Amino acid sequence: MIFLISSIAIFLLSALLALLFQEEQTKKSAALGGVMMGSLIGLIPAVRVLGGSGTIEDAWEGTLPGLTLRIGLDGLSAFFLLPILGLSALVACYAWGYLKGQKQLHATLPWFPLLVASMMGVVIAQDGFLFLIVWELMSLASFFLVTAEHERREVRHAGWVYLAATHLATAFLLVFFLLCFQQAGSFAFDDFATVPAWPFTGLLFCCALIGFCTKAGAFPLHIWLPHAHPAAPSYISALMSGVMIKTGIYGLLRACTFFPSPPLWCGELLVGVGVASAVLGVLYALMQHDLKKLLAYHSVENIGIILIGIGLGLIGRSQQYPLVEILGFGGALFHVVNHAMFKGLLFLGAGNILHATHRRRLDQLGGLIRRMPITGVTFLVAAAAICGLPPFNGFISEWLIYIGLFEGAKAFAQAPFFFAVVAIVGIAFAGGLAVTCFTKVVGGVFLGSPRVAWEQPVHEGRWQQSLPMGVLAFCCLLLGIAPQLLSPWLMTALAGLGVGTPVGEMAAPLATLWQLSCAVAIPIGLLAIGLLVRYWFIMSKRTRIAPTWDCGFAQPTPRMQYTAASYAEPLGTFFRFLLKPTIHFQKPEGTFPARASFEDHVDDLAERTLFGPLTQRIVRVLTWIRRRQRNQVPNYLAYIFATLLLLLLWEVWIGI
Amino acid sequence: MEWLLIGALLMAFATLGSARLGSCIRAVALQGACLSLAPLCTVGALADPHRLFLATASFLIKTVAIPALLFKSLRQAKIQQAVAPTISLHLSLLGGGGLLVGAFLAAGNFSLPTDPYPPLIVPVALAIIAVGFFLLIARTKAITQVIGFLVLENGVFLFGITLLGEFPLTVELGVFLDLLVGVFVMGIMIHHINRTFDHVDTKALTALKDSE
Repeated sequence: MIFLISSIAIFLLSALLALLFQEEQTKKSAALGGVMMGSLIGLIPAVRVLGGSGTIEDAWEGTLPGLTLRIGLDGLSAFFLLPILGLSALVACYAWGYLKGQKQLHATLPWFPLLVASMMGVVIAQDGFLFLIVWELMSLASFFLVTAEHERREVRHAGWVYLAATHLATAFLLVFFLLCFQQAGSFAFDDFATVPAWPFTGLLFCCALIGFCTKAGAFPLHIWLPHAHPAAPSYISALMSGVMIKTGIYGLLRACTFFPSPPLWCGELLVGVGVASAVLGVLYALMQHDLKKLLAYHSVENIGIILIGIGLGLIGRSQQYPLVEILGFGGALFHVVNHAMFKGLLFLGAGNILHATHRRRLDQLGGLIRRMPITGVTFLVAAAAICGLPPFNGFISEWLIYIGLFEGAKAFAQAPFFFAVVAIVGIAFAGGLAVTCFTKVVGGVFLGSPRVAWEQPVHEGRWQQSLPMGVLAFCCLLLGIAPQLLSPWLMTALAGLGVGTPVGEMAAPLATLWQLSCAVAIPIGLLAIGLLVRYWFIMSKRTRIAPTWDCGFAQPTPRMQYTAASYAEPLGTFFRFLLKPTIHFQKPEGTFPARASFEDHVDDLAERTLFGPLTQRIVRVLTWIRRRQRNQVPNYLAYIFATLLLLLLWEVWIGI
Repeated sequence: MEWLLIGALLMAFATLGSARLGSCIRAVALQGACLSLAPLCTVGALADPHRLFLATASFLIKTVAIPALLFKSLRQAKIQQAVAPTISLHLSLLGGGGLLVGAFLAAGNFSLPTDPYPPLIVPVALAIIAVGFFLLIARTKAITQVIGFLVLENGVFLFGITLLGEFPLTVELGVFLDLLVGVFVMGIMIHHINRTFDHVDTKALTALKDSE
């Protein structure tokens, strides 16, 4: 307990110090040093709890009557605390190098420790009241971090979209927790879990789903992600995409512990949402030209995969197939950790690229692997991991979910069978498109030669930036080759989720995984040895550097290279009915064409058909009301008075 | 004890019914005095430091400091003495009577522990809060807004002192901070309005309406 409290105290203190100090260097040291120290201290109890030392709990009687604030750490909380604090420490280290010479970003530094503290608060809060408070704090802290470069118009727009989305989420969560409170008579999560029979489970589940999925970024509530991630500074994108959106997943899993036996349709709905997110997320990612926007859509895809896992677990629970339940939940939890690693790494890599070249558009980059080898290699590792390719960690978690789905398809009948098959097809489809998408990114950004001339020499980031990226890449590989390292912790987390008695059943799939990873790692290792031998062989010979055969092009220029957009174009054309791209195409004409251009642009389906028209209507109504407003202080007071009076009457004559 | 509460209630009506700002301020000051004496009229008050402190401090603030400040701003800003109601004084009094009836009806359904105060304190507090709000709505001058806010605060204070036994510090801090903050904000507002528009009518704030 003492470690938890002191960790939070360090975060708050460092936020305060960073606010007070004006001098840049001290400000940075206070914020980033505080985050690193607090994270490392906070990791101690998380590892202990996951190691099986039992749960920690504490409660404070508040000053308000009938209110007790409870914090605690059980298996589930500790399992989420691990990536949150781990990635925060690494991101703080990265930011140390990244922030050098970026004056405008220093002003928002005090929010950084506050964001980490509130994320930690979300997972250790053990009652609904405290949970809502830290949840709101987390939203506000991340809002201020997203709008760090508020001079730019699109950043402000992104900030507002995010703020609206996050308030929508909180509104639904407020309803959810109040309804729970009404049934249980207290805000404590333990009391929620002991309610014998929940009335209107459907309403509660839908409130939780909308609230948590908005934060997590599941389709069609994901619209804030592709706005906020490109707008935020890269180290914040890494933190938000890597772990902050996972607090939505945590909330969903926590809500699952309140309802011991959810109806079947809950799981099916989650699988449906998951498949939609995974497939549409990756399709939209494929059509993006902006590196960070593309990565944001990949977050939508990965959240979809996690949701499929959770939905599968719930279906397994209601159909009473413990193996399917364990594989579903286990795969989802494993993917949470994995996604934190590789998505964090990808955004940090994108940060390095942006820092070095000041460009985010894929069609303006190229040939970076020679100039930024560390970024290039770690980005490649992360890309392979996010595509679910062995021997990296993404493969392991997706594989667990696959096995669960196949087990489910074998065991289930009727509707659950249908959903299992749809999910298998969906994940496979998303996986294939993800590989296409990342070949496009790596090919466009790192291979070939630069498509435009850089303003200044492009070079690798500082060691503070390279170190955390190396650590993350190593972790991706380590968990891919030895996933059983994580399995005891996974078991503790699953026990916290209310599953996991038959531990032996999980051990068998994990054991096969290890063999599978080795089977892939050995050929790759042999290939690497072969390359080394070849390198050594070549080194001993005399070499000459000369141009390759250029197919008769006398004067090739970098602009002749195949671009990322043209790589994705066939798929975009194929899915035209769904993506509805806007195309501006000027064909080359005549014998000696002077100019020709091609440009395409994809609008988000949810934004185009759902949220765009919806906000338009709302704005119209609100404008109408505002025109009729007399804007006098007494009028507003009268509104307040009338509301209070109504509430009083309600309380007196009807009761809450 | 009851006569103090009834005095406070009457003073609330006096603020509703008086046509001049000066008498309004005096009524609020007197109401503050009634309220701050209330904790002293309970059994064993003189031995309880919390109640003693509350009584002295609230007397100093509610009866001495704030009315003095209000009179000073009245003189300095050369505010006209008329209260300028949007709802006429007679109608205001009638409305106040309605609110009083509503408060007593509503309070019948509460079962709050009011010990050591008489149970009358709950409807009186409710009525004073409602009258305060009514003043905020029915008067336009910024200084009457301050007075309405003070009446409102007095009602909240009455509710608060019933909780004194259980949460002494919270009540004390809450009461005084709220009051000070409120007066500060309103004071700045008056000052500001005086400087820019040369009069203290909140109607002038309408000029801030969003342009479309």
